[in-house]
Amino acid sequence: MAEKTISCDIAVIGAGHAGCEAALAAARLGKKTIVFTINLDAVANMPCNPSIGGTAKGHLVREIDALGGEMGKCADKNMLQSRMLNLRKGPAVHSLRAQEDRRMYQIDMKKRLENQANLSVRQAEVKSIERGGEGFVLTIHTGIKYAAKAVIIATGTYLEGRVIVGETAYSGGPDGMFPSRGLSESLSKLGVELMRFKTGTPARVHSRSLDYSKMEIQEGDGDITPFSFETEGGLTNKVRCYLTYTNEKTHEIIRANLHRSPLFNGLIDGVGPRYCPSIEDKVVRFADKERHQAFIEPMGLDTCETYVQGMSSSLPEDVQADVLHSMNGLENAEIMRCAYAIEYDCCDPLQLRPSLEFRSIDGLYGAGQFNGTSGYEEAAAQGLMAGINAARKLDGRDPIVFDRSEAYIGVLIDDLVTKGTNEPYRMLTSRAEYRLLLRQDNADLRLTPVGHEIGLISDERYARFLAKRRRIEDEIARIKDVVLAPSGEINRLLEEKGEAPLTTGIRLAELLKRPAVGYSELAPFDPLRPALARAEAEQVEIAVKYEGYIKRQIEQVEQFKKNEKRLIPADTDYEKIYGLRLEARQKLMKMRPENVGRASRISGVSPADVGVLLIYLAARERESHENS
Amino acid sequence: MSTICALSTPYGRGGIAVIRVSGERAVELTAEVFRSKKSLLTAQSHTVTFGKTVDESGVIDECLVTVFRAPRSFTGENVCEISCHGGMVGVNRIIDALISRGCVLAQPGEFTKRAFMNGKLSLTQAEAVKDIIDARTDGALWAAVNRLEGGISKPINEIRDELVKLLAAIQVSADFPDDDVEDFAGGALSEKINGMIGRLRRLSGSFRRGEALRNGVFCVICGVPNTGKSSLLNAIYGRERAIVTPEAGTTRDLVEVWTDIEGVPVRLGDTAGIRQAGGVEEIGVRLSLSSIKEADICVFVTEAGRPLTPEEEDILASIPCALIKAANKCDLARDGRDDYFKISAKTGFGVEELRGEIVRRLGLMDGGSAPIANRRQLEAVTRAAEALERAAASLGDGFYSDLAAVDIADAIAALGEAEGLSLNQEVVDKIFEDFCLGK
Repeated sequence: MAEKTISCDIAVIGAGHAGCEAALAAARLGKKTIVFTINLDAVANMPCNPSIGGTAKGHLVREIDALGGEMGKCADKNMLQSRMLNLRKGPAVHSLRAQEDRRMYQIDMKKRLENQANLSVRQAEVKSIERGGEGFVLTIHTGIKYAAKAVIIATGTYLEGRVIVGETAYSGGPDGMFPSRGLSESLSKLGVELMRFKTGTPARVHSRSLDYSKMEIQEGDGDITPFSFETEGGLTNKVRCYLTYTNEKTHEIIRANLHRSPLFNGLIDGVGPRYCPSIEDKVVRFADKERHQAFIEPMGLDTCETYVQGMSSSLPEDVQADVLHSMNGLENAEIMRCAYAIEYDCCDPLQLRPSLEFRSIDGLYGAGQFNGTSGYEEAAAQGLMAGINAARKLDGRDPIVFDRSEAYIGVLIDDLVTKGTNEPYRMLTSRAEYRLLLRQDNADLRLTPVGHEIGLISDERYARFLAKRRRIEDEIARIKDVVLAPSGEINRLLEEKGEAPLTTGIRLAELLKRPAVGYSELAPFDPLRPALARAEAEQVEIAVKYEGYIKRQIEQVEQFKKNEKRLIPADTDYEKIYGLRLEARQKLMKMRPENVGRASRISGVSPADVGVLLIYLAARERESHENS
Repeated sequence: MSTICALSTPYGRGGIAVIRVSGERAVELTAEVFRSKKSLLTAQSHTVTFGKTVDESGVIDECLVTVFRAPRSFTGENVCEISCHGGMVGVNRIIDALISRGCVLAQPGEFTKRAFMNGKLSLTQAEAVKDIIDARTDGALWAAVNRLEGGISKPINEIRDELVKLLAAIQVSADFPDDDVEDFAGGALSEKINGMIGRLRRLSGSFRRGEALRNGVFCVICGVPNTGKSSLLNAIYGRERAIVTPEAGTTRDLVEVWTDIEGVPVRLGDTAGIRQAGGVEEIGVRLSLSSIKEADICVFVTEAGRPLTPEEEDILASIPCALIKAANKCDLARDGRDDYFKISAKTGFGVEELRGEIVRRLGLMDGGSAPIANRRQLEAVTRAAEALERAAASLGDGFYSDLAAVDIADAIAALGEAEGLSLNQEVVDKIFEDFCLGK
């Protein structure tokens, strides 16, 4: 056993999407940081789909960027095709998704870690974690010990990983990597409660074996919105994606082979995500559906590997081949990597504080799939916050915690640490109550000032941000003031759009409130309009057009904040509040929520229990008021 | 908090009276005025002890004391219920004895307040208990009990659940744009929302019955002298209450009775006949005129078989509220007018129909479902309906369905408040204002 211990401020275990953001944030905030990975060639890997973003996930990436994280920049750089989803719906649910060159993304992100001051990148399997020194002592597979004041666990799906393909199961990590063995046990010894989750991925097939002429083409956007507020346009699509479908024959093959599926024969005990079901799951659960979609997505420019989205499976390899061959365009598909399911250990996130630090283990943080989530973006968001908060803790500063009205990141973490999860948690726009305010387009307006205060946004970037914000505010004020007189041209435009013509003068802002009228279309009638960037014009349009809704949502937020601000004294004795139901009392005693809002979101605490709690607090205040 | 006591059964009536004592020291204070073989102090919760209540002058009464220990009691505190004989002298002596030992006389509704404070009752239930205490008729009692058992929340809950589903349907297509889930078309959405607005509006309509059940309806019988108004009051009431003589102008004071019509408490007022008069009768006439102004509904009485006099025309013209016209003395003459109820207060002919009409005309017929019972619930249901109207309007304007979701969320929140389950801080503050809690 080596005698010498290597010291650092913060150790990050795992260099996936959570680990990368955590390590970069901690190092950038001046902390001597080491990030461990089982294999340096697996840094920032995408072991599942080669894409970043999607509904609500795209929001997370933009928020990460607004706070000074890395994912958005790297995704823009290595983007193959980009689409803004939900453009036919309101601005709250517009979501950005980009196909990525999987290998280039990894190489790029690894380079960003390598070039980061204060950060060491180390290939090693951490075998144990114990309390010691000023915090923790980690022992790696070679017996070397590392001392860290704070540790962030970001082990993804590696922890006691077990891969299952049909009737075959073996100990393994994602994408052919080794699993992490032994660390689980030492985490349990530290007092971490672990759960067992499961996830899966479809097959990769050779592009030359596919008949694209039998599939529908999926084009990217003509005008691409980047993830990063710092990316200066100029992005172009480099590839096409395709769409094909399962059919009755596919479903027959699956049904005939269900007994060989580990999900149905009992080989898998882990809980899988409802939001990303395997194809056999879909066929069984939605038996009346005649077909299911499958998207064909390239894995990169330098490879023929192609991803078959929607066909994740843990059926035996021979069945997988039959299933694919039954589909249009995939008749001769050549499998390069087969689909598999993977089980892994993760923690019950109810043990975490909103800062992602373990409630009962000072200085230990969890992030990413280890916290029970699914998805690269959810992982990166938590990694960023864990990195920020671990660094702040060492500086003796309060953690940064966003509430549900401030950021999707806030919704994500609040859900995890307050409600917990019994399946891999995926971010959805419907989870965010105040999504009209938490749009992807205004993530910088919401969060960049915080990022600057934290220290991850440079003064130069902040100055650019302030100038942008000023231009938006000025323009909103201007169009609320400028009156447009009725004219033949404007009324012709309005008629075309099915809007009532003008009979008297109208303020531009009022005209913009009509659903069919866009900001850019009014340019010919608005000679004094300043030149604005596209993103700025978009902010002006949204702020004015949806003003009434935004106002009402702000009122909802004010209502919500009342309960968030209603603090519950730490010495509250829930045993003495008679009206609480037993389940609510037990949950409240265990979780000790900081405020009434959080208490109200704990599962098992009913609205009636919240009423009881509010009345108890009010009565208690009165009493102490009278006694003083 | 102090230990309170009060008579819990109606004052001055009944063979048995119950005095309730509640508070931390309820058992020990009761024990001090109670002599029994087995000490009350060791009595288990939910047991009855026989003994005698005493004060300085000696034995007051033979009593049964039921002990309820916190938190398993109505108020959530220690509670004793002293069942004694109904005479007010004895009851007052027991209460005085309790007060001399340190009890405080309870304020009206204070037991309910304490139950509410200790989380024993939801806001809706607390309101219902108050209504049960005040109930004047079986209908009012039924409505209150129904609410105590959660009857009120059912129709509101149903609408709320449907809205939650609607919201989910709007959101699912936004969260899974690549999946071919059916998009919620604007038209179908508007239709659903409009249906729910209608149901909420009908619920607010039921508020009128709820209010009538709580506060009663004031019905005034009016007309010129000697048309048989007092006879009609007696006939509707079912007992002799107003003095009836053949002489015009007998009734000079306002005679009032409470009666139950189809479950609605009705305050029935007999008035002096209205005519140019002098002296005492003149005062009676003025009283009649002012009660017509306060009435929720008037029964105008004239005589069958003769046209209205100019004085009667004037009275009819002055009635500002709902009106039922009745032609009395149909046993003596025929009457051909279609818009008049043909009655005979003397024989009882047509009186039953007239009784029912008082409630029907006000739209207070029993609709079966538990009505909205108070302003707070009405306000919340109205707010929900308004939010949905905004949602319908914005869909009509061609805005995206996910914007209507903002308004739908508002409606869901308002209905949660109406149920009284989701209390927000303002509601709690309001309760503390209204109930003067903590004193």
